[in-house]
Amino acid sequence: MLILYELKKQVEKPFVWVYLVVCVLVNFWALASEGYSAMKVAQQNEAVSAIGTTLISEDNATAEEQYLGEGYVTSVMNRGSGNAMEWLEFDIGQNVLLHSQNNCETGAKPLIMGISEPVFTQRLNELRENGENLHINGGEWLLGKIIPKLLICISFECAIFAMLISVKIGGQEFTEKTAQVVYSTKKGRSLGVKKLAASLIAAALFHVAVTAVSALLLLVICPCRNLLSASAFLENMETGNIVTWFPMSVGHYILANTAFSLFLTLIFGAFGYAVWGMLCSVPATVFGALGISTAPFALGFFLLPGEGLWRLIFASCPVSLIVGRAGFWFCESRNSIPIPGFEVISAAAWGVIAFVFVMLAVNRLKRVKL
Amino acid sequence: MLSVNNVTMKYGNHTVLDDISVDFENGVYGLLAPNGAGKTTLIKLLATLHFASSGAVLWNGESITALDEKYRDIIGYLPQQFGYYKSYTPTAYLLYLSALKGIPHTAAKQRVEELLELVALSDVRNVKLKKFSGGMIQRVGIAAALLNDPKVLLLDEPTAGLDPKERVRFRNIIAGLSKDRIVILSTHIVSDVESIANRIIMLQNGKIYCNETVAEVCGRLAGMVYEAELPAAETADFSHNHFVLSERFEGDRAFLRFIGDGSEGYAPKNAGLEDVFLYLYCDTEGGNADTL
Repeated sequence: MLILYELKKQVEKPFVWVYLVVCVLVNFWALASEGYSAMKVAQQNEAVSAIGTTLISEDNATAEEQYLGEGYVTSVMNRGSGNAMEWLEFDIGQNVLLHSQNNCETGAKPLIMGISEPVFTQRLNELRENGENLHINGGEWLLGKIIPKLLICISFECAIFAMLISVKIGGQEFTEKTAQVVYSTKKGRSLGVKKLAASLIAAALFHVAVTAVSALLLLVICPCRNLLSASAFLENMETGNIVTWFPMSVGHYILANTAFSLFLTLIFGAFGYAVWGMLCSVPATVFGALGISTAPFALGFFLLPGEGLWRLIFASCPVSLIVGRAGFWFCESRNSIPIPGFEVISAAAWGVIAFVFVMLAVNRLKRVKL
Repeated sequence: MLSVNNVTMKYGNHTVLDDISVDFENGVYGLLAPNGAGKTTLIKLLATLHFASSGAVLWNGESITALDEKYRDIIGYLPQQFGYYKSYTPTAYLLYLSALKGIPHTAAKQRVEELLELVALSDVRNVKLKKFSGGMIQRVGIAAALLNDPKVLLLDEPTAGLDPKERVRFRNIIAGLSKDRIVILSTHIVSDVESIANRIIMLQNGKIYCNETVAEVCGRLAGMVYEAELPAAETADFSHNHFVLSERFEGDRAFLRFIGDGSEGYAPKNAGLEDVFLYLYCDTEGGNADTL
């Protein structure tokens, strides 16, 4: 019964519905857009309009001149990209056509990679039958799992939603000063757990709602060709290299920062400082999506005044990131493939830390001092 | 019976409650002390929102900390400033709190109706709380505290901010509730408890100064309260030489209620609870507790 009440509180919040609309719009943009790489190349060379669109060879002096036949563009690289040749060889090894070695060397034009339509169709059919991966441009492009990838995208939104709702609901008794009334009731002390459970249920319901609306957009509004673009959004769109160690995919960043934000929210919220959690975690997520590392935030927390448990919590932030970074260096030193999104490892570390401290926080709620 | 046994409450080095012991049985207890004296701390201890630095609070011989939910099941608590969900109606708010108190939904609906009737809010049961006046909110709070028909009702300055009419209404409600339960009413407004409290507990320097009936408390100033009628111009000199409890002016005449020894020929007056409060908690360091 209490969970129902908490759930009701959550869906009654206007910001929930505002966020729902924002998510649907973002998904719509992700689905309907032409993809980041395509947009990038469009700025440099208007010849390519979208990844996934048919590219027809032309006999003129543009980049497409090097194109060996009709096919689908799968990626576009910046001119002079260091790994271009490696990827090119890799792609060729996977029956991928379309390149412009001259372009790569001279740096005059973007390097366009793609796959011919017969090969594309063949590979697609194989994928549908076997569920195998098609490796293009050094990244995993699970054509057979495009829809699940979109769901992952939506899941990120839901994780952020869960974070927001947790902040709002977890801290509600403190922001609305109902804590004294609530915690003096028979079941008030165990309400924190129920609130978290209700937040997760709300996030799941939200997931269903956003998925349904996004699927509707996908099926009704967007042509299927843009499935590739939507996938490319998470996989290929690189975050800005502002204070990050190296460019990361949007997906990895959102994941890492969402974990970070959830951690902050849970901890701050459970300890009764939900406003702090909100102040810290929301910008962390937003900046994370823009490609700014979580490290400055973590260091900021480290510098915050605190003692005992608090300092330990703050200290755990940079430590976990450093551990993640060390893991990456280790992979590099062994000349092995760096784990894509080492921050995900860091995020996992966050998860463990978060779990421990949330349990401590929940325990503390039972003896809360007001 | 609710017993506070040798309880000390400290915030850092500051001792708010110092080794206090008191037993509560059915009836109204007026917890009377100025702001900052530790009334709210004691109430929160009884509401399990604070935990004593030392000592114990017992309900029928068992520690309330050990009883945990079982104890919170029998208390009703109205905080000094209680929050509420502004977008809720009183019905929705009380039903939510009923769920928190573990009352089955069907029983809760009936109970909420009864309580809204008791606090005269039936006709606004579906109006959102954000449209309520302070007095109406306070009545919602009282209803919330009574939801589980508590054996121990803790009211922390419940009449603060209420107009006289609301305060009288509130006093009548409390008086009606006190027959078969412990009501502990914390306040610094003497008139709130003077007419309804069975016993008055006064705190002084973190200790219990007295735990007596109103008559016994007032008896402490028996023969010490006098009233003088003077020209208004002489009040300053008079106040300088006497402990004046109150002043009233009518034209160029002043009526001063003061503490005296009867040697000046003024007629003694019956001491009221307010007289004791003013005398005990005067601005003198430590008050006048030693002289009573």
